[in-house]
Amino acid sequence: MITGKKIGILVGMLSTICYAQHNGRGSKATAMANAFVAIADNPWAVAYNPAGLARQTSSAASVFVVPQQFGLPELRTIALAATHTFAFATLGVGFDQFGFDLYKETVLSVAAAHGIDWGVSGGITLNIRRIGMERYGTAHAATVDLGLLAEAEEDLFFGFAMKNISATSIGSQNERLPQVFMLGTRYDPALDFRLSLEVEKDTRHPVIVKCGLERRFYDAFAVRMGVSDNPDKFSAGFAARYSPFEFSYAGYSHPQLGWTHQIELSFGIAE
Amino acid sequence: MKFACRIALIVGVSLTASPISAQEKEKSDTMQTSGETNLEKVLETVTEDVDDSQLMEMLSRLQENPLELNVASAEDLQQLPGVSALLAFRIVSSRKTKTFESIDDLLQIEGMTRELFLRIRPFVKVKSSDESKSTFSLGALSFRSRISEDLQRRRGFRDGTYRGSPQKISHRLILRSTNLSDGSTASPRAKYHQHDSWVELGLVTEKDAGEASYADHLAGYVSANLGIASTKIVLGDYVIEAGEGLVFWRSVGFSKGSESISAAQKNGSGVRPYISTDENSFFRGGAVEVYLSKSKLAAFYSRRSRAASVNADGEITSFGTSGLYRTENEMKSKNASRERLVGALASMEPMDGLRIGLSGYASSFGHPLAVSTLMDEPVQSTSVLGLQAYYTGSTFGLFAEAARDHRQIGAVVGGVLFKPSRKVEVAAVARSYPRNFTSLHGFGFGESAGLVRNESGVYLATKVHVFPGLQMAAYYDQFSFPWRTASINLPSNGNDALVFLESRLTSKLSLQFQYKRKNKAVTEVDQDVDGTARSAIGLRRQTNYRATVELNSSITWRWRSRVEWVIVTHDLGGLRERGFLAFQDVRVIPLPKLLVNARLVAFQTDSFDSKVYQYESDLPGAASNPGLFGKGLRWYAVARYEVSPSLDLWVRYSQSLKEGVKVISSGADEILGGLDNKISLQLDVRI
Repeated sequence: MITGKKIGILVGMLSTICYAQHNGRGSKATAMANAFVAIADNPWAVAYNPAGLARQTSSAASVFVVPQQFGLPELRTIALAATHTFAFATLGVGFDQFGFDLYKETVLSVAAAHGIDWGVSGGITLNIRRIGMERYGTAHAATVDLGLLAEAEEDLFFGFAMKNISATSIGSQNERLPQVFMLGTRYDPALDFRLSLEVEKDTRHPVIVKCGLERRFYDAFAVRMGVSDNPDKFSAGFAARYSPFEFSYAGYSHPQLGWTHQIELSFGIAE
Repeated sequence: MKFACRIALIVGVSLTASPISAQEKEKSDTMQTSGETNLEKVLETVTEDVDDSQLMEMLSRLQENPLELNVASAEDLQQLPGVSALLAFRIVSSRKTKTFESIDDLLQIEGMTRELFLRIRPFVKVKSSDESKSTFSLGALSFRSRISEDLQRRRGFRDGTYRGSPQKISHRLILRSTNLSDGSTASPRAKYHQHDSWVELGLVTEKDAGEASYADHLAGYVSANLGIASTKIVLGDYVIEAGEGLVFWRSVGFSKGSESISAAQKNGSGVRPYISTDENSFFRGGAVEVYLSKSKLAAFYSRRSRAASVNADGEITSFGTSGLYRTENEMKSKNASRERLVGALASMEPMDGLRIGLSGYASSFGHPLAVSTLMDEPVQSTSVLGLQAYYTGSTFGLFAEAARDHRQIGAVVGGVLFKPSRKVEVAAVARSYPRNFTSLHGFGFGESAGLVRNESGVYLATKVHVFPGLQMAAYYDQFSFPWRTASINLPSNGNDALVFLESRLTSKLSLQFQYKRKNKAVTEVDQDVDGTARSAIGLRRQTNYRATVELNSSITWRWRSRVEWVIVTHDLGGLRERGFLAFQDVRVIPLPKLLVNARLVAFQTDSFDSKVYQYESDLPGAASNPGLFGKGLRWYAVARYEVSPSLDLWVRYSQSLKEGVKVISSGADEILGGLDNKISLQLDVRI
């Protein structure tokens, strides 16, 4: 049962949550403060940078749950993503559902990526988005995301992605869906250590600077953390692998809204 | 191999091996043929706020007709962006012992870095022996036609204020015979102007958006080199570049930027035929240049109408510089007055490395110039005489120009260039332009966009090749305006500093960092003790931090990413504003005949004052360096398709989409909504 106070908070937060909804998919990305555009090495590349799919050599699937965001069970997310490499390209699919009865957003994504050569890969995602609001009905829109990933050296990568490059609007008011520009780099100072740095600019909101790190131990265990600004957020997480399964956890703190916890279970088959 | 190890290895290898790799040669060949000149690094720091179509036109022509390395003069070489006077001297001096067999020989010249070589490569050539032996040939034809249009209708078109159609259309034709005299003989004329043809004809027409006439701007020339008398004649339109620009220069020029050393000295090369769409600063009439063994003389006459605002007393209050004649009012200022000018240049080289020059003109106007900050009294005719002296060696150079106007008011600029070691170059320039010095055709080194008046200052610059693969350029400029300026009613001052670091980490990856700071007095609105508003002088501080990554993954791929922050603070009132810009740029040759360059830019600034600039790839001959403000996205794509070796087709689409605005621009230029997009097409024919 939703309380009056919670409704007030929800109404105030909905726009923030909605615009940031492309983030927070996958425990690895969340734990590294979403500085993931130059990494994009798991099925959640569908949501961050589809070009990353082209570098993945295994078929993988993942299910991801945010039981409650900022302690509010109404703001829950369930998401699925899977990738498979074909001869002509790597394909990815994603499905996620966010919200509750008053506001529910469902996105179905299909992505394709291809190694263009010379260490550069490109990818594209088509998202079909459905937004339903109780007493207001539903609206649908299709958006297109574009991504590029470049390997400068075997331990240095640059990534770029643009969400909603199609500048799609939704609803009877023709409100433009968020357009988000992401530019980042990934550097691996050691085989088991990874750093990432990224800037993200939603056209309507201030720029966010994000950085994350990951340390792996014997390919069975990993710890991750990250920080970002606007607003200042801290995140951390871990992953435990028992091939072909991996369980991972991530949590992040919002300065005013507190902690959010996420869990993920993934399955990968190396080819 | 890990990245850090790779860096160390490459630095180590670079210390012992400098010759350019075969892959880079191939890469620069591709860049040359692709029309990409890799000049953005230089141009983006020197062309903020100006549309230097003359400069782009000059570079475009140099690309079509490159400088012959075995005969080019030091003045000619100095026109190449990034080539300093000392380096030009070393290139010329090296020819005494060994002629250039190929362009790659430039890499043997001390101070020629790999980056600079790749940048200037499209503008120089070494003539093959077969070419040298050729006799008179019919020559070359170059035709360029460009049309562009804003896809959103501006208010002037909606309400009929603009008389003409919304297309901007320009055509340019150049016909030249190609018989250069045998370069290796280095005749006196060849020494100065080897790249000029025997006979050349140029014609340009332009119509801006909203102008009614398709030949609103019409310019052209016939230029001839008479072999028997070592004489060059230009009939029609021309510009003059002399000395350090106190007396003559084209409308704009290189200024302070990441090429900190070569910006210090201009060293004009004399009469240049004019064929730009820039409608401001050129002469119309005739010019003759005569080359003797160690000297050069030029005389010229010009009579042309000038766009001007003439007040009720029949005095000129200002000259029109926009070149836009779209409305009835703008048409009234077109050809409102005229200028007649007679001038001359002379220079001689009494000994190697020493050059003395004179330049001057007398000019009269159809109307007197009104009293202003520039003029103490109405004058209808002015004259300026300048004296230049240059001494240039391989490691040391001195230069100075002094000029006096018709009221005996003098201005001076001078400097020193020094290369104390193989790795370091330094330059110092001092300038003093009195507030009432009258130079209507000059463009001097300084802060005031070339105005040779009301400014004094000292500029110190250095460039350090820390080791192969890491370069640093820096300058510090202090300036003061001893009299009121257009924006401040009191004398004021300021300073400007830049540090630019460029690191080539691997053969394909380079990083650039730029820190730029400018402190300058501005007029602020302040509150008096009783709360009433008053104007006060305050200090505005602007700091820019820029980082760029460039990845040349292959011959046909280039990746560029940038982030930039700008912070503007005002001491008075404590206003603090920020700006941010990031872009992703990709250039690719997907098919052998197709080149595509696309960029996506995200930006957000607190105000117009905190705008951030980014130099854009435009059609050949056009320049575009928009300052972005507000918040939104901008993207553009340029494509070139080589239909045949003599025919290129270009297309460019650009779009800015701003958030939260109901109109873009103002007045007759106003666009409803937040979308501003434009399409351009260009046809280039070379026969």
